[in-house]
Amino acid sequence: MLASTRYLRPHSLVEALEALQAAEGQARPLAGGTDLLVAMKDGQIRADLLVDLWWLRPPLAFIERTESAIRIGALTTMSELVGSSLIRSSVPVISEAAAQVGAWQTRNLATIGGNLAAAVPSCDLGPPVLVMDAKIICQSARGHREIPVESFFVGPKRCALTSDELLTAIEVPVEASQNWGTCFLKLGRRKAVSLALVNVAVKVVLWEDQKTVSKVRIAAGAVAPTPIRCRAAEQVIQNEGINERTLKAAAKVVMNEIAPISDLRASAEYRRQVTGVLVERAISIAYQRAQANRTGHGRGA
Amino acid sequence: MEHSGSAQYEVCFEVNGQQVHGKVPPTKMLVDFLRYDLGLTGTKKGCGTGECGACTVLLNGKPVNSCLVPVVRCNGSTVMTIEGISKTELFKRIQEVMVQSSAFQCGFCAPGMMVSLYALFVVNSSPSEQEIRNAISGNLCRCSGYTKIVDSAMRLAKGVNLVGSR
Repeated sequence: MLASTRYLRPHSLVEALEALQAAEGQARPLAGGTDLLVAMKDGQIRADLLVDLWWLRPPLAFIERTESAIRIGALTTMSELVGSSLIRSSVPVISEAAAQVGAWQTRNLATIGGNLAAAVPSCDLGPPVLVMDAKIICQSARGHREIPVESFFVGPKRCALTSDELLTAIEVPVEASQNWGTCFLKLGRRKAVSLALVNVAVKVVLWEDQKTVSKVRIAAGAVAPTPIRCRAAEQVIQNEGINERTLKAAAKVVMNEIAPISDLRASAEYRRQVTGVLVERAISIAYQRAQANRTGHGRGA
Repeated sequence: MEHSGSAQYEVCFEVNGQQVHGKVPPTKMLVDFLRYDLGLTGTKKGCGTGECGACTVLLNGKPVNSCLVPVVRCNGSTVMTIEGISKTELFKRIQEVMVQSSAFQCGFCAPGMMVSLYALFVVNSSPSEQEIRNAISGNLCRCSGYTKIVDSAMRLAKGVNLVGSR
């Protein structure tokens, strides 16, 4: 029960990491609380100890640019991502997704680290970090490591973090090319306060001619045990470029490479159809944005 | 240092412009502290899971679901509830347009809805319809269908000059 859980207010990251290590898997880090506290109130998750990371917002909430990457602290809220001109100009697929999480109130609490580490298959920041080839930075009392995002999601609500590890930052490599665009699309049962029944992210990089595809990334969530890259669909676009025919071909291919299930939000068949539609739409929008020579500026629906 | 769930944590923070002190278990949520410890029952409990917005308050100026904020996190912070914002000029203008159109029916969503609208108008005195809808997207209303709430907010956005009035 939530009421009998012990609680730690850490005064430093080191203190938090040592507490997690000492708890030997019986502690949970608490970020925004919009997911974990709900699950604990419900009895779905039990923890002996809550380590409240909100007190570590300095140093764990930040958005900064280095020479080669954009770095985002794990405790950065969705609202902070949406409000950041650096994110909107350099990693707009992340702000586009963050803007569609929950509602205004949720976004003032929910964090990027919490969204990724909870590893719900429909997590809205999953597809964006996949298409941006992000690195997930984690720390523990034993040291730190970097996990490439494609190894981060392991299964439904399971990620590669060990029980004594904290996700502390997300690093997105700066795209060298000028001509790229991204798009994030989400379908929920309503326009806000909805888990995605399908979400999709696409990144398209063009050569200088602003027509030929140099690189494409497609990722989908809520249609497999984890958010996934849709590599077969990527191949279609990579090999054949972007036109009406290849969009339809990519959509068809993606429908076969996902593994949706039926649940209370939608049937597997509906999810399969919708993924095809959203992938086609997202590639088209990302392509237009790449051609406009703007880096996919947009805030979503 | 670690505390057990039932141990008491001292907190000190500002609610509606006044310092409050308390001793709370660390897993007590802000909504319960406001309602039971401070008697500020304007903030409502609808779902307890951050999905209905009836418990919306401003934490350091930002609307949050107080059912998901442990009170201990508020230490050193500023909280504004419906009781606090209803004393402001801005609130009275929002309230006026809502009353004129009979926008609210049972009124249960109203405190949370008004906190969200107030927070919107504080940063944006002339929001578009989409911005209004986004601002209240976390406030469920089971009675009204939202139409009059949105229309009234739009009338306010287009009409009255709110600069300098809080």
